[in-house]
Amino acid sequence: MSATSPPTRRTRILHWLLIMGAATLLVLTIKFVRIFFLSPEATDLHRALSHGSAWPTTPEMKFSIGPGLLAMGRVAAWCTDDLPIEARHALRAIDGASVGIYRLDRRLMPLDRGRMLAAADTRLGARGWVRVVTVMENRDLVLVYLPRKTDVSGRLEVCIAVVGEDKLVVVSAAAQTAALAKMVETYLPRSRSI
Amino acid sequence: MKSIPRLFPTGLVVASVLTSSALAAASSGHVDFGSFEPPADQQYVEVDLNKARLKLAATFTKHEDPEIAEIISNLEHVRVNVIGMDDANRAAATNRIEALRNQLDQQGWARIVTVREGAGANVAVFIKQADDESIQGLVVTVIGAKGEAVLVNVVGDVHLEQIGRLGERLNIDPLRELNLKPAPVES
Repeated sequence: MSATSPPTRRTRILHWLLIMGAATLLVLTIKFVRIFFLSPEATDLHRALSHGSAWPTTPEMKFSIGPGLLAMGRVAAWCTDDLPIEARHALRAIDGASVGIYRLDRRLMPLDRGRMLAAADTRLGARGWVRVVTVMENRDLVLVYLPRKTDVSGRLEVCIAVVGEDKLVVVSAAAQTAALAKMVETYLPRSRSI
Repeated sequence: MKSIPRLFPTGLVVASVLTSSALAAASSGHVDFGSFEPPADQQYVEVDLNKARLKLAATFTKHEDPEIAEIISNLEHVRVNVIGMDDANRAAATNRIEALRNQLDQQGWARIVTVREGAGANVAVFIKQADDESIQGLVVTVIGAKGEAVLVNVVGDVHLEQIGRLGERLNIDPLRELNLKPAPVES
């Protein structure tokens, strides 16, 4: 009777290992696939500016860098001696980024730019973002959104759309405010007092 | 019908709260410009920074210019609108700015600068003063000769002579060109 117990226990352990291996593989696959998708905010911003305004765009590049990929990058940076110090600081400061680059025909840019802004405001407003900077000159466009509740000392999140030349670029990014401020302090030259 | 007497005290309280809020807003340096429709093929700039975002901006500025960072961190609100004007919207934009100027005059804002250069720039600057040297709010209205209208509202405790430096740092031309100083104290 007792001769049957060890194989059963071994079988159970193997089953659990298989399940955990499959789950890990699934998680890694999902994370890998998500690299090629934009964040929800960047997606909404792109949709509002293109679909919402009947302004066709053709995707050229889309990628997202999340905490997992950044953690791997930080480990790789720690193991590498040749990486510039600025890159190391940037890796420490950034929590995540999502970038989408689209080709567009600027001749087809909607003349009703108020409707474009309203569509973007509605979509991002539903996610708790407000537009803080708007610049439109000729047919160039820059929109900057920040979360309605801005965390001054903790995590800075920003969502940006830029139209220039024949490209639409949408970016959403998050970074640690203190680390970013430290980078600014370290790498920007101090202006002379007048 | 029975509900009306019950609603009356509640309505009175709500009306009092709303009125006092409106009065408080009117008495502070904040001015609501309303929303603008971006004109087609014309320049349009809008910047809207509340206290938290200004503190964030000050965090990144303090190394480069600690004095400006201190000024920015004391501000409550900064709003800038630049609207390019063409034949389609010039009259409406001009009327709107003139109406705003009249409203500020009626609300007790002090008009400290008035410039009218014929076909050139048309500038009016208003302040809501807290005491002799600091102001609660500043409004700059410009109907420019280059075909653009500019509206600026700076809210917060700022001294007159700091306005120019603030305009320089925030890249706001109408503020940069102001050279405001407090009146000398007569001995």
